[in-house]
Amino acid sequence: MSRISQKRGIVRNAVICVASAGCLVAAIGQAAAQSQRPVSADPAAVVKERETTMKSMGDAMKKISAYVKNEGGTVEGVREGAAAIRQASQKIAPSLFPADTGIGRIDGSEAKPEIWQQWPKFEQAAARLVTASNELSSAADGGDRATIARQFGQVGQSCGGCHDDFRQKKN
Amino acid sequence: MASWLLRLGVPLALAAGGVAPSMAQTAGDDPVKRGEYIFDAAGCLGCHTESKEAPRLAGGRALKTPFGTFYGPNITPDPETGIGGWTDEDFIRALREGRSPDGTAYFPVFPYTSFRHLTDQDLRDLKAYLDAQPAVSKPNRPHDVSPPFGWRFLLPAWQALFLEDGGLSPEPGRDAQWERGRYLVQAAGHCGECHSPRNFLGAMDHGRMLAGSADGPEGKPVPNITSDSEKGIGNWSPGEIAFMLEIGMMPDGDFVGGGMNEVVENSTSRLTAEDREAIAAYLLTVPPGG
Repeated sequence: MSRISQKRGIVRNAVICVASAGCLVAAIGQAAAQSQRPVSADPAAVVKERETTMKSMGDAMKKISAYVKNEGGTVEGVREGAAAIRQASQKIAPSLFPADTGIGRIDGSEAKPEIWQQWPKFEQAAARLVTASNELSSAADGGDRATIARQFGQVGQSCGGCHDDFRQKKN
Repeated sequence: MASWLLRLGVPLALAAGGVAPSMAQTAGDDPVKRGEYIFDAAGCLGCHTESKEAPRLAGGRALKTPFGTFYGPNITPDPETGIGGWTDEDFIRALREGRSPDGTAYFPVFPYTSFRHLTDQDLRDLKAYLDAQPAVSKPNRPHDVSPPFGWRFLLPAWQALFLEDGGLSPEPGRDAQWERGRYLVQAAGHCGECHSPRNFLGAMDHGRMLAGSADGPEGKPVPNITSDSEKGIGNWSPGEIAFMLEIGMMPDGDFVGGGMNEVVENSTSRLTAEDREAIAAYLLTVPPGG
């Protein structure tokens, strides 16, 4: 092999190497950008699970309100409801909102794109519910009606505050 | 029906550091205290404060509408950038006729179409309350509205077309609770501004009052809150409506959103239980529209 062709070979290989490295870096960058928030294997199933989870929290709040309003609810019911909300609220940010489950991506989704555009703010809103539901659980254990009522209000504010910013009801 | 939480001795201080509902509007001899109640009933805080972290009432809150983005102005007593130095008459003209002290017309995103029904006494009390708030120097941000809606010189024509007579006349066969509810919904609370459909010029469709809107704030749908049992809230009990206004929970355990939570937090949770019941009583008589 002549020196010239050897040089050419080195140049060509270098070009290929640099180009492919560039492509690789670009590809990694793109993947990283997309994976800022993970997607799900089955977005439709996640939306279904999300709605079931939210509904279970609503049912629990309803149960607790029956006690708060003195309409036949019991402290035991409050305790169960508070535990259910606490468990459900911990799932929200980690697993119920993958990036491909927003309005327009999945039929029937009520999740606004702001969730993923402002993820830290969304995470904060979810964390607020975790904290509030923990406090509601403690209040339920304590059994003092006024404290339960106050913490019930705090949980409600967490729900509503998040719905104000991040949810668009279908109807 | 009493306010459950208040009956338990729990002031519904839902907002951080919130205050217990003050006395009813007619009570008390301190105009500032009375004005605070009107201020809460009208929910002024939301549109005139940029964010929870921003200086209170110093303006800058973006309001996206189908006509463009408006920015709520500074209503602190700052003489340069706020409403310091306004007379009571200036204030009443602004809230009833939608005109600033120099005669310039306001865009109806400022709901003077509803506030014009407020009584003189309530407007003067509200001004007394605003005058007592800390002055903040913060210049107003210009609105960002597309033509022709941004053409301020057209506003007097709009006002001539759509501003109805002020004051709510008594209706035969209605009791004081209903009257109070109507006043809170139509005048102070200006509920119809979001919950009623608008015509192409942005005027409320009074024939379909509270029948919901396809493009409310931010162009998003706002629900029907008439007595329609299918589309509206006709199948809610008065207690369920009052409880939603107090805490944001709907009969199915779900919590309001889309801006309504802010209304609950800044406004309806701070009213007296009697006033929330009055709103409920009135809403259940609003004919189905749409």
